[in-house]
Amino acid sequence: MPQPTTQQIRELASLAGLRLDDDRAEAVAVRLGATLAALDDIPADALDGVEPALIFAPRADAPAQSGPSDE
Amino acid sequence: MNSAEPLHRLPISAAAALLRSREISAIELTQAYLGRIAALNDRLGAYIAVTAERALAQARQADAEIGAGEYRGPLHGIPIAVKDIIHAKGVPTTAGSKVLADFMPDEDSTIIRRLDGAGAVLLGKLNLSEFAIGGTIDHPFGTPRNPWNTDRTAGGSSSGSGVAAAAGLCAGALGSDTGGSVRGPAAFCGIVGLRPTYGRVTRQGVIPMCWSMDTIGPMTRTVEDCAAMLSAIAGPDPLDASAASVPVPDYAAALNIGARGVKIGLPTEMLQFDGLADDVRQAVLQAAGVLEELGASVREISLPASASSGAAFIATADVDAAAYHADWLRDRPQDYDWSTRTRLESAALTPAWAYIRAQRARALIARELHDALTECDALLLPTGPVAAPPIEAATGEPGGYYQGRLDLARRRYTSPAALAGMPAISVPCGFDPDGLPVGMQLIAAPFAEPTLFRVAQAYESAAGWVGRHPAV
Repeated sequence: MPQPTTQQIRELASLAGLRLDDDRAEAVAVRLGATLAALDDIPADALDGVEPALIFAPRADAPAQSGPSDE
Repeated sequence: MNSAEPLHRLPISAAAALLRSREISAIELTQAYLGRIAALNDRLGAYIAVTAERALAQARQADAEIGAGEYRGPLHGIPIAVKDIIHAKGVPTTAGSKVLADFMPDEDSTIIRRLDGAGAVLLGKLNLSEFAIGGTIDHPFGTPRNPWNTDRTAGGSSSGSGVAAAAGLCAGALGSDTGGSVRGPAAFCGIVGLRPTYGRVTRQGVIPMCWSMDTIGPMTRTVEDCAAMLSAIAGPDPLDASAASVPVPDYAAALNIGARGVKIGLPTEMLQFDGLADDVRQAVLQAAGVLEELGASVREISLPASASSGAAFIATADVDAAAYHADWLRDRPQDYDWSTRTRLESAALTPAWAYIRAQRARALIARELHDALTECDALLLPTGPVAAPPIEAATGEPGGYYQGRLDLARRRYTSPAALAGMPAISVPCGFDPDGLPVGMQLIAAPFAEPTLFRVAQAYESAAGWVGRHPAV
């Protein structure tokens, strides 16, 4: 996963309406690059057949007391 | 009153018993805490706003009601404080940011109304990482300091809540936990902190960070107190669509029944991770031994996908946060802390493939945790990989605890429960050689908070860490 360049970051930021000087573009490039690299490291086969959890909620029908009973 | 302990060190349960029997008054208790705040807040940076007048009025009302036999329950007359993202009518709510320095809600949040209903006394609003996003470098309202060593961080983002509860500047506090913001400060400050099941506690009137993971949870000096505070704030809320319609059980019934027969899973990857400090690993393994002695069964399990949880969390929560902050980021970016701004700007530029990849990883991690919790009642793991780092190292600057490799390392412990919407509790389990607290974490299935309270309290009673307080 190539590290985003400051030029790419500035162009993207402009599209998003954000004002970044060179120092800020560099800091954002480092941080975003690290996040993208970590996501890219997730083994592709681990995600085979896994659909995105776009809407998330725990099961509302889960029992309120799921702990074990006393022996 | 029987206790040799000063009032500010009493657990809520002990103070409540004394209030109910009228051995102490709520005014006396409130004044004790206000005195502590006046003496220590400049040094510890726990509070942003102190609501002394409101607190004393509530305390007077509590004394009158208790005197008239109208006792409301275990929080009646108890002085508490809340993280400064929770709206309280007429009290500034800054979210720890210059962006909201002048914001004053004109309505109470549901949580504040529930605390009022329980008869609690509101001492004030607590400091935090800016907008509940960890890694703040310059706190505009003072730097929160760990009461065990004021050169060390209190963690984030519910830093003020951790400091105040640990140092005896309130009897109990509320924080928020999106990806570890209750559990992390609880571990660093040597107290109990609960992340409830997503949807267990209403978020109406709470400034959001991430819509699909934000939770509000208690931070207290004992597990019993944590259960009492959750009882007061949990439950459905017609004003919050994310609040689950699941009935609230009697959490007190889960206490004092021991851990015999409970099945505990120890995630191998979490304990073998090379970024985990040896002191922390040993403390958690010893805690596992204590639970076994109490009659729990402990066995190793595997959670391989959890290694991806830090990246999945950041790409989910930060993108949500960037959406919430979009207008302010465009119009007044200079009002943000350097670290918060960098994090939000990075998130605003996250490509779609990365966001969707994070959601797929989230689904995988949630499934893995769910499967583990069909075989175990609870999972036991460290709350974080290390004890509290120095304040100057605990920021979102390059090389800091909240950035890059170190950030991903700590998140592998707190992010899985957040991504899966599951409840998790951090409980003190020892001290490192520098005298800093170490926390262990228990995770259970959705709405299984009673299991967490049961196991955590059984361990707490056997381990004997309760009663140790920082020397401030």
